[in-house]
Amino acid sequence: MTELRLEEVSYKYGIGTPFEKDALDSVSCSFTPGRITGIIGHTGSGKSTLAQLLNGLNKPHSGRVLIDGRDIWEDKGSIINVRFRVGLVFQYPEYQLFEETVYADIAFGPKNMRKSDAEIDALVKSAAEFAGVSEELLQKSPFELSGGQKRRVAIAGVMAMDPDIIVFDEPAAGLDPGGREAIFKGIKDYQRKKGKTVIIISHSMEDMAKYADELVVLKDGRVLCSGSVAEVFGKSELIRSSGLGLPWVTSFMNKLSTLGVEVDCGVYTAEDAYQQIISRIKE
Amino acid sequence: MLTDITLGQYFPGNSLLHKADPRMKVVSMLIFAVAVFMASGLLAYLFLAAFVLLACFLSGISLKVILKGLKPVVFITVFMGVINIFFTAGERVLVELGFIRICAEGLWAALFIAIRIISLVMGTTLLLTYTTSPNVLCDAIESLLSPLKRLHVPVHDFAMMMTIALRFVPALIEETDKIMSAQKARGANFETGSLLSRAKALLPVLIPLLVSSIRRATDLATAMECRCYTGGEGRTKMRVLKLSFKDWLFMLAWIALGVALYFLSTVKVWGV
Repeated sequence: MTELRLEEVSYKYGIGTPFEKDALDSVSCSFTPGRITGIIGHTGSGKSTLAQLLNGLNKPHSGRVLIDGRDIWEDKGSIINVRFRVGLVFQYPEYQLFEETVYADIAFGPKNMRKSDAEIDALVKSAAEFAGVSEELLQKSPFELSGGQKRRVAIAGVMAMDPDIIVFDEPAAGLDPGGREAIFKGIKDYQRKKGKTVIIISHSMEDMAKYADELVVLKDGRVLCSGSVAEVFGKSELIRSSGLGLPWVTSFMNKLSTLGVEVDCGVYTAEDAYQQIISRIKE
Repeated sequence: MLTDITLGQYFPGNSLLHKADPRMKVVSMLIFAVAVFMASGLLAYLFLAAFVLLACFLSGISLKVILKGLKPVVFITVFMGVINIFFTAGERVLVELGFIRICAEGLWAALFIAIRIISLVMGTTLLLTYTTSPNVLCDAIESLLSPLKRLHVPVHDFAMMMTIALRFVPALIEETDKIMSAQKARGANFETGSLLSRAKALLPVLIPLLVSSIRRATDLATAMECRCYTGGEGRTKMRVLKLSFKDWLFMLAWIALGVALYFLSTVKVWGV
């Protein structure tokens, strides 16, 4: 399995202009293969910048991005292969659709990989299924679809490249609760069945509590803390002080513990919280 | 990256050039453009270069940024220079190789044309784009053209269109950058390949860009209508432009440049 790791990565915007700004400041973290890692942080904390370093769209000004221990910038000519191994779904990806049919748009990535027609067909069909794009939509124009459908087509377009690692930048931004859930469930399903490494960038603690296995918390371009979801949410003071909210279940458990009830403050699912409260009541 | 484009960008500041009345700046720019073409001879060109450098210094914008903005004109400057070096007929021949004949006059002409192009671009961008915010510039143009209203020319509408167009330039650059990145993430290749294949590679960028521009335009039109925009009739300004004595002096400086260049052109140094 492919292992992705960052070592002391820094990135600046607008070098040499009056608008120079540090976007990332010696960020080190690793993404466990075969799991869902959430990157959370406020607007402007460097989440999206980080995403574009993971697949070699931008080059870090210092530090290294390693895939299986090899620096992706070692050989500049093969950077395009890095992009095929690390798929990136941008924020609001529906604005990148351009082909005449949904099918052709999803096939754009595999075509750039010079796959055979039969392979492309198989990849497109499987990606469409995972992303929740129904069969009859494939021959339609992407511009006829609703916003949610377009989003799913764009996600399928990246899944179709069959990357080892797939990065989603705010995949559910601007969708209604039903749409959010459908997108995240699709991602989780894809990760489980295909055994992929998934990285989700989000500012929603609730969504991350529900779907992520591990978390990296960014603040002002630095890693504030990282670890399993329970570990990160267990550090409630640190998370709060950084201005990020905790999931409501964790907040609730924290309140209970300040009231003197002995519960685990790192709990973040309603099910676990329920079990703990029940066991306390039984005592 | 596309976001590195500085030509046509406004740098906020508080310098003499920033504070001058935008209408005077527009008029000064026109005077300057004429003045540049008035120059001939070494002395006049040196004076012109010195004047533009002084304006750079007064604007408080770093020379590095200004030079970066000149990148797009490097090619034309070099091209014109080369043409002048090889095709200027003169008496003082320096090199003669078959049909190639390079004269001293050609070298001077190449230098002059370079100074002329660079000063023209530097002067106009300094006056209008770097030190004048697009909104103020549009106000100035509207105000300068207002006499045309008598002839039923929709001056306000043109100014509004210009304001909106300028306002969307950075947004479009950002959008282009984003779409290009998104297509690159799917393996699109804009950097290598033949000219034809590179032109074809731009299609996945241009189509989404066109679609989103149309969407933006309709959204903006709706938003403007919601705020009761009906055109220029009876509309007042938040910033009312007022001319002061200093502004007249400012314009006078540019006229003085033109006059100086005219007289300096009559003086010959080293035969040029």
